[in-house]
Amino acid sequence: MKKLLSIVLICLALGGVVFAQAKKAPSLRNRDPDTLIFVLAAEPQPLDPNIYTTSNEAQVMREINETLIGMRSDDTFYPLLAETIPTVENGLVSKDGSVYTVKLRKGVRFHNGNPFTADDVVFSFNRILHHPRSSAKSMFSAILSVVKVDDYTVKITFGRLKDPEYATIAMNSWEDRAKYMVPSPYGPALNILSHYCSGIEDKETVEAAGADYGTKVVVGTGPYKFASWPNPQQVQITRNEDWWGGAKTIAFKNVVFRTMSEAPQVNNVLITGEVDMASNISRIDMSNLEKNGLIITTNPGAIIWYCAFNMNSDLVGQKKDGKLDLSGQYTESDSTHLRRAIFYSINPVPFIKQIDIFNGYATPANQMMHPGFLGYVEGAPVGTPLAEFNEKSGYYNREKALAEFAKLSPEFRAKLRPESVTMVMSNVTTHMKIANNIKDQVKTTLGVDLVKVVPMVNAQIIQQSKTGDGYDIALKSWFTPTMDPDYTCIIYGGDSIGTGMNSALYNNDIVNKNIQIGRYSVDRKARGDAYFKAQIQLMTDKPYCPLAYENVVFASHPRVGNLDQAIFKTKLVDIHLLTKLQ
Amino acid sequence: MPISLLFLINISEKGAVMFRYIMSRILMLIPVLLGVTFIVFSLMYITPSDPAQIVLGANASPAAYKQMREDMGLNAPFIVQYGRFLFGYKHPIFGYRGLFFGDLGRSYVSNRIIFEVIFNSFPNTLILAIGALSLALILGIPIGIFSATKPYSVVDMIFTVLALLGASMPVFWIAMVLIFIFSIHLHIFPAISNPNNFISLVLPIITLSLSSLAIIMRMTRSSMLEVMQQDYIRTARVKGMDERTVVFKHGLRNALIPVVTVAGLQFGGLLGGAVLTEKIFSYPGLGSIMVDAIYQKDTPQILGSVCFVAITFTVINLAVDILYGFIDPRIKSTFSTKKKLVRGNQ
Repeated sequence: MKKLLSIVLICLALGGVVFAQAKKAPSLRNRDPDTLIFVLAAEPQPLDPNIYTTSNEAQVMREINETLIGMRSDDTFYPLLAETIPTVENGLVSKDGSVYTVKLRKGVRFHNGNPFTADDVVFSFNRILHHPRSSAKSMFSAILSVVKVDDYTVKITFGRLKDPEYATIAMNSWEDRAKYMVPSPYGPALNILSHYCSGIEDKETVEAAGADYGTKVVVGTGPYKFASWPNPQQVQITRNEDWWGGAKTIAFKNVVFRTMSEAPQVNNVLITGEVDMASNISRIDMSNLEKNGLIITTNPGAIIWYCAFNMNSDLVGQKKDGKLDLSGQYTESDSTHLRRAIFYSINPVPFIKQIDIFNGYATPANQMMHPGFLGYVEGAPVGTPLAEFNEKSGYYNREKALAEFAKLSPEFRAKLRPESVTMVMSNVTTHMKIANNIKDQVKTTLGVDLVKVVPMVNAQIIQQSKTGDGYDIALKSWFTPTMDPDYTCIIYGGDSIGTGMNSALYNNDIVNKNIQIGRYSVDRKARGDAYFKAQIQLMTDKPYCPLAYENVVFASHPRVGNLDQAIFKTKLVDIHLLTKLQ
Repeated sequence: MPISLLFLINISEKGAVMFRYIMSRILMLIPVLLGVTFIVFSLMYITPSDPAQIVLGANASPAAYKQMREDMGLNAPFIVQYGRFLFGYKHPIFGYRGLFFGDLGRSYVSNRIIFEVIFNSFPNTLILAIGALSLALILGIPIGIFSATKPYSVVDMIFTVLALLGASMPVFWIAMVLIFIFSIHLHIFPAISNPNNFISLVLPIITLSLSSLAIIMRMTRSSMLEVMQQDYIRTARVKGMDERTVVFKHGLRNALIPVVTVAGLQFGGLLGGAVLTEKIFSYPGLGSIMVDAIYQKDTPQILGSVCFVAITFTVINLAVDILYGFIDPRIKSTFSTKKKLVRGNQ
């Protein structure tokens, strides 16, 4: 017994010594210093930018396939595969703003040596818009035609549907588009021409590779070229020594993308030095990352969290004669008051600060538009609904909430049982925690446990959002990959009703009209004014309760530099801009 | 009749017995596999997800979804879709030859050929499973023997408690603790595993083996305890054999029969159940593929992977049954013919 006890004590002492001597700074663990290891949250889909659109393969593809126009991390544009940015001033955009003449950069070659020409541009846009598997069609749906003028010039014409009824018709060719669309200026034109899905592909290679393009064969003009994809957990790219932009500017010779979906494990491998950079980190453990010498970079993002009140709901919606009121001329009713009562009961600040939700890496949202976007209402203009907002509690106002609740008629109040208002959200932990926060806040403010939290798979929420059945409130987040307000307006545009994107089934003529102005104008001031007016109207009707603007957060090894220039609001990183500090 | 011919006839009789035994087991595979594929397919069919949306993303137009569903054959009745799953679907983009021909087409998400993905990742899972089972056997059997020879001693109690811990601790917890100690603090083993790097396999193998180790240890112990009570063991001792010969030659051989069965079942379970371990260690095995496919609602990948695991598990059980027949003569004898040849008789 004594012997056993002695052995145990010695082991404990040794363990303590060893743990005390454990290293604090991440080391490279004998790996190649010229190789950057970047963590992806999920396995990338095929590296075919014209077809696949999730951010995992986008992170890889943007280094391989370049777009005509580039966007910097400060949202400004620069010419990439185009020689110059087309504008009305330089004559490369027609006076009505619908036709963009793009002069292509000469002397650029694909990684296999094939020359980059206008044929490849026409081919790439044709794939985006007409390939049966393309998931980027709707984002580029404003393109009417892409025509080759000569080997180094293309003409891109933007347009709009002749009749909104044609939205249900599948357009499978340029001829279809010519039949159902008319030329029109398009506000976000440069944004979509800089979106990673419009990465230019080599026509000859893609046609030859067939279904294997994107997995076994990948070719582009970019600073990195595809090296290998031995298993779903690992993709490797290698520096393109013949890159037209100058290979000497690219710090890392090789980049390995590792898939790792478990956030705590991502933290572990950052601390051990086995990977260099990741964004899907466990936020509970952020301080531990910093203690271990990792660099945390946080920037404003392009994700907005919000609650959508279902206008088709008897309890919180806008119904007329028992049916969803699509007139946009909302009248005050009991459901309007209950909606406002819940609206004023919600304070996003506590769950923004909550360590296991945002852990402070978000800011309270005051409108359904991202800060910095065109049309974002700065400050709290007096006389507008935004004046009710404050940074410490959002729109939370107990007195107003109770006042609205008091306006409910006795008959309507009798219908309100505990948990009679159904709130749906994705069955992801973060969403459920926010939803439970909101449930508690409504209960505390109004004195009634009104909200029932119902987690669902996202596909089911989208399905139900098409008709507005089965829920009163939907907790959602929206990501704007184009960095243009037009994409954000999908959430609340009347033409999005029935698609599942407009979960509130909100329809207001003033908002719709201003969205159209913003979409079909190239005048920045006109666009900004239009979106501004849309925001004011939205916050007056209150079909949505904006909650938070989520930040982009990256953890990286201290040897990786130039993070501010390289990290975008879209959570994507221009890896070729990163530098080696150690 | 010459003795050599009798010998040949005897061999032939034994071979026929084994052949009947093996064939009966193989024939049982077919309804099992059909049942598994039907259940898995039905579950995926009723799961609320839209494959068209998985392929096209969330923002496509209603017309595009409608066309995609038509192209993927999703508008057909359930039994037609099941039939296509087994025997094939003709379409220029989404067509495949069917499970019966080992072709389920391409993944909705990765666009890779389903069975190519499975066959590329399965060897990695096999490495982990073989490593884990080997470790479990190398440690579990000797510890079980030791415990059986000194039952209810302090050491036996310690091993019993350790076995309970090993069997009851969740795999992901074990993995995280091992990473915390050996990767983060001691920097001995990496936290990411790679089939090409032996050192990186140590932690996942230990993680996977603990549960099997506990079961094999306990099974060996109880089996040995039972065998050591038998009359023939007492006889061997009385005959003056040393204890080592009694335990290993007479006791262990008989005690190992149920251990072989358990090891076989464990192996099948390891092949299909390394999911959590592979995810935590970011190991490119079949378990990771399956989990990712489930998260992404990649129906053909899920179906292909689950069916593959089911087939593998069933084949392994078949192999264990066959091995059992070779080890235990009592099993074989139930399949012998009534007519018995007596040596020396005509």
